[in-house]
Amino acid sequence: MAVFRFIHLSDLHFCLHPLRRNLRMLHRRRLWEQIDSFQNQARDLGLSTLVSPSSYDPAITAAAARFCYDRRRIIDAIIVSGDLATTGKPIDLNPARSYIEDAALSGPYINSFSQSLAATGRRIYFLPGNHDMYRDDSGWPGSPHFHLMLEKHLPNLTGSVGWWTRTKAGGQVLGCVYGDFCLRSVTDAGNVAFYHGRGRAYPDTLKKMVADTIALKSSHDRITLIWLIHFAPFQCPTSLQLMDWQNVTKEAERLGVLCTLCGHTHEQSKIARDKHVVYCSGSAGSVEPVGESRVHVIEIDPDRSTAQRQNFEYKAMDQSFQSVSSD
Amino acid sequence: MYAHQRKYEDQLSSVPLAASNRFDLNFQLVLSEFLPLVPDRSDEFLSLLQHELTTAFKAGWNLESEEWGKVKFEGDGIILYMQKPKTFEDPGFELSTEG
Repeated sequence: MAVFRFIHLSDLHFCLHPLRRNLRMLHRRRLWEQIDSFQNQARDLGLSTLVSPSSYDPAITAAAARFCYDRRRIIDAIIVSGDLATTGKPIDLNPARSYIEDAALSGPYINSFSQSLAATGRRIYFLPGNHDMYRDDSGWPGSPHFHLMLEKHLPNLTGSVGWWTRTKAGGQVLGCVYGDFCLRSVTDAGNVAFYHGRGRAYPDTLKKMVADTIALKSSHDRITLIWLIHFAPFQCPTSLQLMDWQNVTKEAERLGVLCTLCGHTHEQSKIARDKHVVYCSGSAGSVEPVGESRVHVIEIDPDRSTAQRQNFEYKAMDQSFQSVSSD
Repeated sequence: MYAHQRKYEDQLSSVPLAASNRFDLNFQLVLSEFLPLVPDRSDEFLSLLQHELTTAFKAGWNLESEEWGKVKFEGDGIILYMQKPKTFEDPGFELSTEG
């Protein structure tokens, strides 16, 4: 039985400053932790960083790298559904770039404090998320640096859309079409107050995803198709919404796309409608929400046209991801 | 973090964390990342910790995890025995190729 198996990661949020917390996130913590975090961060990084976007926890991204490395012989590839970095500034993107492509010396370790997924020897497929496209800490969209530094890893990319395929020896083909719905301009956010976290299902991007999907279907007799996007195509809090998300799921269902992989919400979820499933990944690195970090293993059976996911939660005590559920 | 990293090294299956009243320097480096102190520059802390750990181990204290291994008191030193990383295998799995 030929099964395609992928590790799905999302929202790693690499940054120059590890363990940086945003003031808006602090209220979710206990009072004494709020005071402690506020005091430490203001002292170490400066008061102004409390209004910068939250970053990553190195212990969690290290555990994610070990998770991938230890499973390298049972997976086809690793998929990252965006937000590799906290902003699109080169200084924040650089640790993300290193995590994707630098050579490791011992297992997944580049040195004591840095790891690389490249050590798995498996292909890493990813696309940008809204954070990767921030020009600065204020979250202004449109940074060119993600593409300048990492575009070479994005196969068959034209504009905001690309695709890749993988083939088993028995001839089964899995095709993935990925699309970038990050805001091109603040004014596209609908409400300027929400430009940090919102995306827009731009008609031209969706049209290209549809065209690429149809082209893949017509060029392969036996192909199973999935879509990869950053934003969650379902009802989310207003500040995290993919505007016009209904158009995305409608087209995915119409075209017989088996599942859509996404992230962005930092909250693991699964939305099934008809034969189409949306698998939303938790965060594999962000400092928020505490205790909710997730990585996932997705199995796609092309002969039965089914997808299944196993979910792993980060346990701080052992600094590892452990299986918690499947859906 | 220390054990998680070191377990991937080929030759090592155990690492001394402390010997002759001194923590291993690499371990100190990792420790200082998580605690606001460097053991070699904190004599009182080191002697207290050494004494506390030694007493605890002699009293039968166990420190081990399936994930990273175990710590034991041997001779005058504290030794970390690392768990080999588990590499997942699936004999039926066949790697796909790109394209």
